[in-house]
Amino acid sequence: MKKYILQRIIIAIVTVFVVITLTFFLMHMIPGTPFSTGNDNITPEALAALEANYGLDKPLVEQYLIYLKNILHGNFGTSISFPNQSVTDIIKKAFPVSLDLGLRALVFAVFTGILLGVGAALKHNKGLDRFSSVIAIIGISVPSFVLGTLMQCLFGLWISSWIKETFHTSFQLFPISRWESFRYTILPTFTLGMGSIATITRLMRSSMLDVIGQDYIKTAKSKGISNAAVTWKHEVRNALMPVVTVVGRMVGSICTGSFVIESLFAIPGLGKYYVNSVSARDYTLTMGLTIFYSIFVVASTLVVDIIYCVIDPRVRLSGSRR
Amino acid sequence: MLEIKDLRVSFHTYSGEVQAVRGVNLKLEDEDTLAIVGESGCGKSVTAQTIMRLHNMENTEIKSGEILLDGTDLLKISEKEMQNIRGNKIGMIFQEPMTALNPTMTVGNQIAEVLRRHKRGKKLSRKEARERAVELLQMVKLPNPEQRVDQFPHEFSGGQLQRVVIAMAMACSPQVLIADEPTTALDVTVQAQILNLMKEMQREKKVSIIIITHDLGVVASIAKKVAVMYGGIVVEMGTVEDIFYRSEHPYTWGLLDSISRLSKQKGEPLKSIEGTPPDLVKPPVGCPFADRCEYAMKVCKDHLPPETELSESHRCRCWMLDPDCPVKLGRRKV
Amino acid sequence: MAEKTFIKDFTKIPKDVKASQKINRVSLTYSQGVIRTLKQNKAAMISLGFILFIVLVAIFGPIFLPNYQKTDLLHTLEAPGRQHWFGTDDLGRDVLTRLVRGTRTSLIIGFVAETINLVIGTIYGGIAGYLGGKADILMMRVIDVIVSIPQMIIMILLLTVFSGSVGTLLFALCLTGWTGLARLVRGQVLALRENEYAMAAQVLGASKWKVLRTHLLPNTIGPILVNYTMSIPGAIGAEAYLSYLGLGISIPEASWGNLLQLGSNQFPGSLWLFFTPAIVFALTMLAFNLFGDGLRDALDPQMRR
Repeated sequence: MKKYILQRIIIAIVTVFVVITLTFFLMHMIPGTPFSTGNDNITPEALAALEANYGLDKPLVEQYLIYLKNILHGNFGTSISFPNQSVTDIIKKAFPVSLDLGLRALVFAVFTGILLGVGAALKHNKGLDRFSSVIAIIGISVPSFVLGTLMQCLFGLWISSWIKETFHTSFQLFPISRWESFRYTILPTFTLGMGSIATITRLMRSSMLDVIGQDYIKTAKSKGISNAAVTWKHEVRNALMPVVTVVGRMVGSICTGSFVIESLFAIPGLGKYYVNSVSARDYTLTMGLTIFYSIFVVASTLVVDIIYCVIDPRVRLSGSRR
Repeated sequence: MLEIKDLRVSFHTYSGEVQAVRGVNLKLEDEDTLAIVGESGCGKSVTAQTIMRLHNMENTEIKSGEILLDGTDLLKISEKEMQNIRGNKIGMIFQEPMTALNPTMTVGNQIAEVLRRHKRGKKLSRKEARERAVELLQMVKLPNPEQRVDQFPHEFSGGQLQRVVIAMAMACSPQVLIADEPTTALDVTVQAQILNLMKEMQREKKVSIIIITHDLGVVASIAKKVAVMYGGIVVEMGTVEDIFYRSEHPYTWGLLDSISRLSKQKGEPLKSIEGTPPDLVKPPVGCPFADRCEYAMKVCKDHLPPETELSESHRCRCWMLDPDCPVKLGRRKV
Repeated sequence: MAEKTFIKDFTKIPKDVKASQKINRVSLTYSQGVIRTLKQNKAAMISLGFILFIVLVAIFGPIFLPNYQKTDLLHTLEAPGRQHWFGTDDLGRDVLTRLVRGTRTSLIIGFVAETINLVIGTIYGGIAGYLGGKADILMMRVIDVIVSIPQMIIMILLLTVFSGSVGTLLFALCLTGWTGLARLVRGQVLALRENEYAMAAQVLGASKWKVLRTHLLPNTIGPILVNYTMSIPGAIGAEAYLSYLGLGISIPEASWGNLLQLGSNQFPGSLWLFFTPAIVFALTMLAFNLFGDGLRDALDPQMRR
């Protein structure tokens, strides 16, 4: 087991290193510097001073080594479009919001997905199975930004105007923008979670069908245990194993998937900063956030792999996955 | 006490209805050991699973029949009532010990589960259940039961796991133990140990055993009565002596000829039965063995032979036993 | 015994081993079975029809509706009508024409990217599986690293650095997209090297090429085909996502992504601008997924009943 965990850690470190290197050199392939883009009212002297300030006058390799050293110290540099804020400050301020949204969506998706998947497998080829496969297919076919817009349309326009006319109130049950109270989180959480519900439902369903066909389920039934106990203690428990890994991987993807949701619902999360930094050509911020996101995704995957390894006795012994 | 009457079971597949069991009658007395013998696909496993009602509900249909346990028809009672019988009055052992246990549960918990399910009288605490599990592991002669009880299935060998499965099946001292090819997946040396364990269980716990096998060696070592199945019906049935020394059915002869024996002459080839068992999608109207039978007659092709009672214990379905049949091969000595 | 109404004919007949081997059920070859199951799957067949239709639109549509960049400032944001079936956008461009052109762009991205991934993945996985040993371990570690990199982030980065064109998008999609197939092919090749049926075939004197043809191909082609079908909507979706963020293909070029972006910018005023591309897009994603599902079920003999 130790060997397996060590191997995973090494891969994670190599990955992060590759991402940092790739990001750094890619960003420096952009011709000119961030300050020379279409800004005419800047004197060459001021430009040079600015560049020196950001360390852009040094040779590329030296800049790279400095950048690497800074990241090791948790310093991602200073934002260009928000001059007085370091990238780290922005992360500290905005990431909790993204994490909050991501985790809400994940919890929602995991519970709904597992229940739908279990239901679909138990009622194989019957109504519930059809229903959950429709949900799964919608989740996969309709991308989050289309679904989000649709939700805004439905709740922001049609339902809210109906409520206004019927109850003569301007109260909005599901506001379509900003991130203030629980009411505000429902639509973005639903929209973001929908894609993952689909993945989890499908996986849980096929994993359940696989487990149901196993010999040990027949053994459990031959012991006279009730159907509910067989389902929850034997089937679901074993079927959850592959889902656990995927859910772990989702922590990463759900956070990167929230870029669009955050823009759409005007949520002040890190994704919104990221998207803005790209369009504002705030290179240090883009670079810092790219690396931060990668570290986050790699680390969360690593943690999940280790947890998986600890809870599944088969992995524990063999040191590798089935 | 366990009696199967005219059991007919079919599977519905995309290529049609497979009539896996076509009218089986069996009787199991107390403390008896009945072996059901036959090639793969003859309906022996289906019969066993139907007793436990563990068949696939979606595509299996029980066309007719009764399975009487002490007078109760197991095919008529509710699923809830059936659950009270499974593991309690009837225990089951499976072919593949390696896959028969839940890989994510300790063996102790898996044994405790059946104990707690069928507790008699007061509630069984976790600790008591674990103690009972250790006792049971001791009973099936698993070394170091105190440590083993907390281990997971993958930490055991095949033979050890089969002992655990037996401990689980015997945990509530059932009246009947159904063993579906319990030794097929095991090494030859381990096979004998498992069979001895089963015999011992029977002596100590007074359980009657139904053992499904294709191995006549297993039959000889454990069974008291034998039912030979072919093409979904029982073609011959009798005591071990009836089957091994006085068998009247050509299929049984074929089976007996195909076992290797030390008494065989040097160079004498091992015989096999040519051909394959019938496809049960459209089972033959006559004797299912007719196509492969050396003694086949026209009547065999068209009419299923009736059951002839040869002695109180011995019954056989073959047209050669018909009083009008001109061919008299007589009792065969093996 | 009941009354016997028949004559017992005890004439001896020879044994008929052949007859005993007669199989009464319909027996199908593997590919026959696949096609039969697939044909029975209505959703998959309708999806296949839709995919073919969309492909035809992508190929021939722009020939009949060529002027996708033509603006008409007198008729901006016109609702769907007789003149413009799907309405016009903010610069008076015909939405139907742009949708047809966008279909071509998006499908090119989907098919070309996944075909490149197919080739790279098959070669890489084939080599890794064939070499085995240390080379295989090393090659798989490289894949482990690539897989760990969040794909969307790398694509955003690439599109920030390079201009958002079809070429850049293809490059970004192929940089990381081939790993799944490489793993799959490598697994199949490796399994075949160790598999008992392949060994049995070789022991029985089948040549290496025959083993490859009769065992490797049928076993590998299925999963590869499913993987290919299921990745195409992924690539099309990625394009839409990136263009929606303003990073992919930019106007006046047309793609489903930038049509959706434009639609949501005009939201909620001109709903047709959003819903026409959204519906076509979602239907296409649906069709590929349903067809892929059906294909997977059909290729898995155990799923057949």
